[in-house]
Amino acid sequence: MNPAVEPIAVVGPEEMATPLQDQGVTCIEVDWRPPRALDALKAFRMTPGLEAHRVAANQQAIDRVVRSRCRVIDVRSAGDVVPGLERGTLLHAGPPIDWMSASGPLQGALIGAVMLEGWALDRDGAARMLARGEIELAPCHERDAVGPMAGIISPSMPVMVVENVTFGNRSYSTLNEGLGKVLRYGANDDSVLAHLRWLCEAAAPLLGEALRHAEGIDLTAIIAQALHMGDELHNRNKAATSLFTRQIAGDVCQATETLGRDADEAAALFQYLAATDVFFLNLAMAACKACMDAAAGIPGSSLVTAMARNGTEFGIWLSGLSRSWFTAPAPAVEGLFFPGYGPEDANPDLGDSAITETAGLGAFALAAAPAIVEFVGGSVDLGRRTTEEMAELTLARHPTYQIPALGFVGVPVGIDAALVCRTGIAPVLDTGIAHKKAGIGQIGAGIVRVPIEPFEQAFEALAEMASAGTTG
Amino acid sequence: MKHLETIQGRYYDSIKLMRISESLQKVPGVESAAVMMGTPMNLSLLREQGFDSRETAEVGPDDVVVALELASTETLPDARATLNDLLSPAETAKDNGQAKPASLRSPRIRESPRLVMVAVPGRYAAIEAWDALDRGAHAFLFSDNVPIDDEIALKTAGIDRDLLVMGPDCGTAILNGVGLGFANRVRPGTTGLVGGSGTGLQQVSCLVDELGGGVSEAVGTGSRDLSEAIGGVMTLAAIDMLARDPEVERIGLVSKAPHEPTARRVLEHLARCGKPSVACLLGSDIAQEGVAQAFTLEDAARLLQGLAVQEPVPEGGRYRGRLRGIYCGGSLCAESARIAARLGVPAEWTDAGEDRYTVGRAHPMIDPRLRSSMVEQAGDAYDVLLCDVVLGYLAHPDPAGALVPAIREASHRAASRRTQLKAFVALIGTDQDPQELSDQRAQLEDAGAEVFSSNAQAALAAIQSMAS
Repeated sequence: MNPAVEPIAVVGPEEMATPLQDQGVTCIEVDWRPPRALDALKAFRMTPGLEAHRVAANQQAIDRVVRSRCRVIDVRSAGDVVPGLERGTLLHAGPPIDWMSASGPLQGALIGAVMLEGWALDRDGAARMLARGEIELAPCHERDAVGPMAGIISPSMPVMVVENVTFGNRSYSTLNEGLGKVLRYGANDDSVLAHLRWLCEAAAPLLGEALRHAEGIDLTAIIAQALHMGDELHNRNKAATSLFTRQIAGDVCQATETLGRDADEAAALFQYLAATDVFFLNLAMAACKACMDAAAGIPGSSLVTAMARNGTEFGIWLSGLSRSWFTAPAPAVEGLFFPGYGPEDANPDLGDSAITETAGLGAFALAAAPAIVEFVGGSVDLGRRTTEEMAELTLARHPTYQIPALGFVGVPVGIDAALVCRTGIAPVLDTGIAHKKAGIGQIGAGIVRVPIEPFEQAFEALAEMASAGTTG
Repeated sequence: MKHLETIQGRYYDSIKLMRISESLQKVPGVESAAVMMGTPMNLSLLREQGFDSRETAEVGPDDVVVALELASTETLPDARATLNDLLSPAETAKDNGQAKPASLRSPRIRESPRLVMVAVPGRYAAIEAWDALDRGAHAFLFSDNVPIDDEIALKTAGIDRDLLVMGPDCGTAILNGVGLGFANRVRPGTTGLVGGSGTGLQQVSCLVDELGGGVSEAVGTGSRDLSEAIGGVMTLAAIDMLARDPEVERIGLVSKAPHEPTARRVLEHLARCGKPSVACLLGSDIAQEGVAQAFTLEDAARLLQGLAVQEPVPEGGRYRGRLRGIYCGGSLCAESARIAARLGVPAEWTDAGEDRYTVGRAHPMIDPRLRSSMVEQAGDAYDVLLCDVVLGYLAHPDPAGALVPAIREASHRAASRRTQLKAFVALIGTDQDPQELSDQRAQLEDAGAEVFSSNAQAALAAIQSMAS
């Protein structure tokens, strides 16, 4: 044994450190808070080998996340490629939910999707079908897909196909509709449906052919570059959308010719990309989903593989518990509201876009995006502090996704539910705020701390499973 | 008027709450203030002070209770404002400077700690200690009320990794010249000490210092290390460490109430360690060839310094009056009880630092209020009072100053029943300690107490005063 003691870490009140500092000893003071799920934390420690197994499982899981490279390779009809998306089924954001529990924007979007598919003659009829349970509702996450806000995917909608080329798994996300009156915020009038049809009939075939011609585009590379250009890939995707457009432009021209289309149609696609700063959000989400799915199902791992909200509930997955949801009521978002709107108009938090934070982007990369911290109601320093605070909860720094302003340190990636319980710190998202009434759209943006209870419950379930595994 | 309120479900450390109580007491119009966690112990204290027990019926150990005695209702807003300021976290510090790490696993910790000091409520302590061991650091567990199963698992893991797990309930250690916890500022030297108990180690190290010696290392092992369940694993590891340390010439072992077979095994180990050794096992009479036995802590220090022992011998005399010993230090209390028992003197003993008194409240060496109230009450029924005042790095900045009013109140109460209370105090410390030893002594003598640097001497003097 070596009795050398410096530096000394002090876990407890600062008064414990003072006498040590008076002796000239270097102290590390830990800002201690009582941990959550104490029994579960202890269970891993009290049975020999359990904690080591968890740590090894997490190492394996996070390795798969950071080694994943993702490409977008095609645009296809959702019904043709998304597993188990048959006629009569609609996918939505967040954990499972039924019609009665759905919030305004989600109900509006579901009605719009039923109309788009032609399953009902009018909106009232669509609402009745949904209320009677004639339409099967399922979370996007359970079908390898993700969708922003309401996140509705119906069989005829085009989806971008993203492949994790390292591990071979695929993920899917729709084409972003842009801002304004859009389905994902619950709008469902004829203009909304017309725009969705344009995406389906004009934009999707051209973009799909262009991607096939390009043999796919490397999303991992674009995300890494966009982080150097002020995006955090959740609320800001301006740089990534520009990079994507620049890269695909030549292939779009080729595709226009191959498909025998007019130059006008290519121009319309480029105008859509130019007007839609958030176009890349759906690609970033699908890339994140493909990375996290590659780390799912590793026995014993406490890595969080999904965080998602359906406007009523917030839910998570743990790698070691595959696709079991752990949920709590969706939180309210604190932030800035557009003129004329306030907190009383806001819907509780909504959308699968928290997959970006799950994979180390969004609020976890907020230090990379000083241009938007005011938009979400904070200061430039808030960005740095948020990224550093989230590093308390994560298993790694991403080797490819770096933040210049922090000296090119990687984004903190891979939330460990054990660290959430250990520190009592819940993850943070930076997100848009939807109006609680269907169809009004985005009314602000801000920062939200997700509820900590699902992390406790999930970690307790994991501990129970791990303990059962050793006794029988 | 009395005012009581509760803040639900918020955790504050007991030392922080003590500081808050002290600051509140300085608000004009606040006659007394107690802010503490709502543990059964603390609630019963409030009931004794006349607070309505119905108001605390719903309060649990995770709630903060604020109990105020106010000159008038007009004082309440001021007291509340001060309280809110004191309880709110210092957000400004976080905005500007570097935030502190949130756990021992934090990436903010750049240089790995070699030792981790854990001072959190007992049920949480093991989680921190595990992380310390994972980081390759020795663990010093100041926390008490730690479940025994946690201690067994931690010490087993510590031995596996060649790391010390000092505690739980470890008050004191001196490692590589650094005083940990309550440690006193003693001269460096050639004596190595191992002790399950905090104040036992403090007494021996202070007396070694007073007798002209010095301490190389003092390893605390926690008050339960020599129990049957723990089996002395850390004591054995510490003896090995001191045996290997070239600076250590003699080894002293101090413990209270050891489990006999465990104590025997530890003494056999000590006898074979290759260095001269001394053992003072309070509450055990086991002898071991090759290990010098000390009946008192003072004798342990004398033997370590090569001096003759001064063991108290029964004289068969008769004793009159009632003796009350009220201690902060568990070993000191046990030592006095041992001496009184040998001399056949009946007495009543309280160790105010016992686990049951420190749930949701700081140790009486830091927060003297509980012990002081016990001392005051002793004036109602006893003739002779025996106390300790323990100095050291972490101890209260003026423990004598905190005890003196209680001694005066006890004397006053005794006088009202026509008894002259005699007070004897063991003052444990060195002239290098931050509290100014001579000033502490003067304050106590001023209050009429007889003061001794050896607890055994204080106990003997108290007993002598009762000889008829």
